[in-house]
Amino acid sequence: MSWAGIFHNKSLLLGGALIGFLLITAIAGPGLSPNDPFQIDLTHRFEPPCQTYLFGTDHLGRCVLSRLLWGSGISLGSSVCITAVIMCLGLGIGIMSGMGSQRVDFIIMRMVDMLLSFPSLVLTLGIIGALGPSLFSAAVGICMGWWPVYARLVRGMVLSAREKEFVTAARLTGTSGIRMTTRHILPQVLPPVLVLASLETGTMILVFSGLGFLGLGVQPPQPEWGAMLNEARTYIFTAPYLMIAPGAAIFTAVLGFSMLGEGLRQAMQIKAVNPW
Amino acid sequence: MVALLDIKGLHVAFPPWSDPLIPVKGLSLDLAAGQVLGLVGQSGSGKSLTGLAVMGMIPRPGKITQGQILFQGMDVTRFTPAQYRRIRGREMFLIFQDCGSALTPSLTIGRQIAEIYVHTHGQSWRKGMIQAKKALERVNLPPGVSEAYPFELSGGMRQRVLISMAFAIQPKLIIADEPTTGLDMITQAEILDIFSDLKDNCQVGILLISHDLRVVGHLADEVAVMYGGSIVDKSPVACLPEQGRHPHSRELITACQALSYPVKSC
Repeated sequence: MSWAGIFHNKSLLLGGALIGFLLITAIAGPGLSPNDPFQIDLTHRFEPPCQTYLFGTDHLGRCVLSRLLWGSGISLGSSVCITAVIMCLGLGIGIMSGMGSQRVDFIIMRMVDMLLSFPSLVLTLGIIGALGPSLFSAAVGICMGWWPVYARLVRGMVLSAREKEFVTAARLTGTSGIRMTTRHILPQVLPPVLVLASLETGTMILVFSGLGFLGLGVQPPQPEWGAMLNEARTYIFTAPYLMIAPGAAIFTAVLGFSMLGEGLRQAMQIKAVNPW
Repeated sequence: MVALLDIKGLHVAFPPWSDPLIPVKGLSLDLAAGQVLGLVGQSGSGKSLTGLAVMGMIPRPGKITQGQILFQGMDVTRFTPAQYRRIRGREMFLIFQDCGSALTPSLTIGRQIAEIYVHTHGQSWRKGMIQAKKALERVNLPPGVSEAYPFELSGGMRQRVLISMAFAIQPKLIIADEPTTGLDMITQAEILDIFSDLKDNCQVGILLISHDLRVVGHLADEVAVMYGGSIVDKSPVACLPEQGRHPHSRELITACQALSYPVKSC
């Protein structure tokens, strides 16, 4: 993959641009927002978009644009963090399973089988039920529900990398254990896992917003895209514009991460032409 | 004087244990430091497996059922994995048959050579990289190769990189498993020259495994012919055409002469 190749990869470029834009709004959100997102003003309920309130106001008279900008930090930040945690858990446990003894592998994989036999969302809901609805418990729940998928995938790739000749050759020169894993196995496993992670971040945004929509994630009055959709749902016939802004934000984020992941995948496939 | 490598009655067997498959059956050979022993034979005669047995890397579920492998007087068949790791790479080194896939694709050549040197000699990375450049020079590769990744090199260059590792480590025993297979004649000759250099200057014992009598004839001091898992003929390399008595040796010599390359006779 060359730098010139990146500029011809439209998917990667567009996805990167969308994500870059969203990240900037997420970081600079509190500074950019025109109004106080928590300021309740019952004299200005359901104002349609105007100069003061660019995206209108909600049922409590709060500025939708401000809430959207504050919420992007929470929605995007948590989703990216959740994906990173899941990826690390999956990598760590998957490598342990693939490189460990047969018994270690057996124990880990049967545990993964057990977790995979639940639909991920059911597991997540169960954990949130046990911990009580909050941003933290939603994050923990999603991590617990999704890491087995990664662990299984990583284990498979480790097993296939272990059979490569250069690994045997490295073993012949006395390499073993941690050095073998970090220098010879991990570089074979990491690129596909990164691609999957960037594709999955979109899914994580959807799941996280979904939990917010159900009232199980971020609690009011904190602004979050899914929770904003839920609040707007009641007024879908009287003030439909309330749903457009958070809906469009979720759509853009998911689209951005999907395109970024797809672009990365294409970029990696150019590399996959090589004989190994 | 203790021989560098002394194999006595080696048996390697694969299951089913009620009726095991025994690809190496009572093999005995010895090799002194500074000597090259050629091991020739058809595919499946147990040559490569002998090499792997010496390295302690017989693929599962095969195992050594009988015999001893004495390396510098120590019976390595009784070694624990940790003991084996200590001599593998440091004292004995195996040059792979398939040089194309024996190098890790994600590390540069220099790092791979340096890594083995650092690991076996307990030196710093800086010294390792210097040693790697020196080793590459010994096999006539430009020092710039150390910055390259394996896929950027040709087959002959990769083979030379593998041999350069032997220069960097300076082991006592090198097992070269078909080191010239798949290379053109000119490259083959260059590789064999490098091996001669290694033999003359580093006092290593080389076990040269090959099915090509011409390669062995060029480099080896002694040649052993393997058939069905044991050695059937052994003689100084120049005398094989005269002294080779076993039908399989005769077959190999005739096949070699049929390829119109004159094997030296004594």
